[in-house]
Amino acid sequence: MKLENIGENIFWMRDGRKTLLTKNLVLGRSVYGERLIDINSLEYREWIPSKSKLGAAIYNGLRDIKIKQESKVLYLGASSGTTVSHVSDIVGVDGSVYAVEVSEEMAIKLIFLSEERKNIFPIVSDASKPEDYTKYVPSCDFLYQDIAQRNQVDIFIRNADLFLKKGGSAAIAIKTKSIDVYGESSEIIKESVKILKGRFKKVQSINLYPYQKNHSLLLCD
Amino acid sequence: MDNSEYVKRAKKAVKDGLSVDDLIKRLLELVESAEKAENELFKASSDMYAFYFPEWERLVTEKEDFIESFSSSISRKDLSKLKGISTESMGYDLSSEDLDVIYLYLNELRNISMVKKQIWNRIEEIIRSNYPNMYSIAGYEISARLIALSNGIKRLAMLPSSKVQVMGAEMSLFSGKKGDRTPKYGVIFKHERLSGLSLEKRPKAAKKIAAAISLAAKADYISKKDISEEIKDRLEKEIKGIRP
Repeated sequence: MKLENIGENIFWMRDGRKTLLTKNLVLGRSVYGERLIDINSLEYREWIPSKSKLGAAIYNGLRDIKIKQESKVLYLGASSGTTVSHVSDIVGVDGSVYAVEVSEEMAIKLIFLSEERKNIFPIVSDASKPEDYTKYVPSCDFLYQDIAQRNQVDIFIRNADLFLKKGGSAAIAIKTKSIDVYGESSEIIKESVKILKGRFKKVQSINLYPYQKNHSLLLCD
Repeated sequence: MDNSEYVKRAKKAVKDGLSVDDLIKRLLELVESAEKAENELFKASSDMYAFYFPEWERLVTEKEDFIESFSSSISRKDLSKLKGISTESMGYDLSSEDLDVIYLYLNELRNISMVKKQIWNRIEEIIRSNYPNMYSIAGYEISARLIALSNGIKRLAMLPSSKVQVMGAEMSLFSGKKGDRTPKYGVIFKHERLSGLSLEKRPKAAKKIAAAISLAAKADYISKKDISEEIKDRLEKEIKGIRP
């Protein structure tokens, strides 16, 4: 079994096939039913691509994930905290993840998770109204958004303007079906990339098939 | 770093954010799963009973009758009296041990069917006391489903009535390509004023009913006054005025 480091606290485990791992911040705890793996007396958590879009993007060739140790990350659409837990692993104890979720019932799991992981800062608020949480979020090194809404690109840009540090990177998971049910996925992605190019210098798109259908991750610098 | 302030604030936001609409949504989920379980148990138990007493089973086709009949005993002797048929049967002669086990199973069926009724009663009460206009125009079942589908009365009150008309028919609304025929009814298909109408009048009446429900939702959310009589009168007049 070989362990290959591909980013801070992110690893490929190779034992015949590739498995993505992050170093577990809270020992002995599995968040969403993923496997815990001990290698050389260090504990890692499996990052399941079918449950996490960021994980799927890494499986599909995302090289440089830009989230570092001690990064401040703004995470919009945190849901119950599946991907958030891995981002929390990556940034480590000195980093922070500001996790915004609008649905109260989803937020319940997220809040329990943040009681376990002190680097997650839960915010129950609507990401399309960033004015509501400006007081609680400092300027961040990385912005991640996973919201299935028609105006998701617009929400992303507004949040980036408010919270993203100069030179910071961002990633948005786009569900094409929620922008236009009838439209062609590739066309919608092209359209979104065009809009994002007006705000960011570089936009890279990664299709998340087969782990997630009709989803793409756009990485913006 | 300390996130306890954030956790505290988030907990408060959750507590303040949960409302009676969320309760309605959850209760609907409960009752739907109870209905599913009831059907499953009914199918299995009626097959089982037909194995023992087919002559009786074929007379009782309604689920409710079937469940009612097993209140005390399930033996051929007792049940044949209910329908006035002979205890002679071509079915397999089960021992009393077998009958005991089946009786336990039938009890579960009876329980789940009771639970289902109770939850519906509770939903009815909640709708009646919270949304009197919706209750009187749409009935409790349609009201509850619409509120659940739109994630709360607030959003329902903001929606156009054309959306209210097709809510619950998302599958047929989004399936197929652009330009295909769109559905005429969503959950309002079960509305009592629709079922009595001829096929030609129904689509137009659905439009009127959706408008009335939409108005009722607005009244319940915004003015909180009971204007259901007014809406009802107008709806009646409009439905009468429909020409096929």
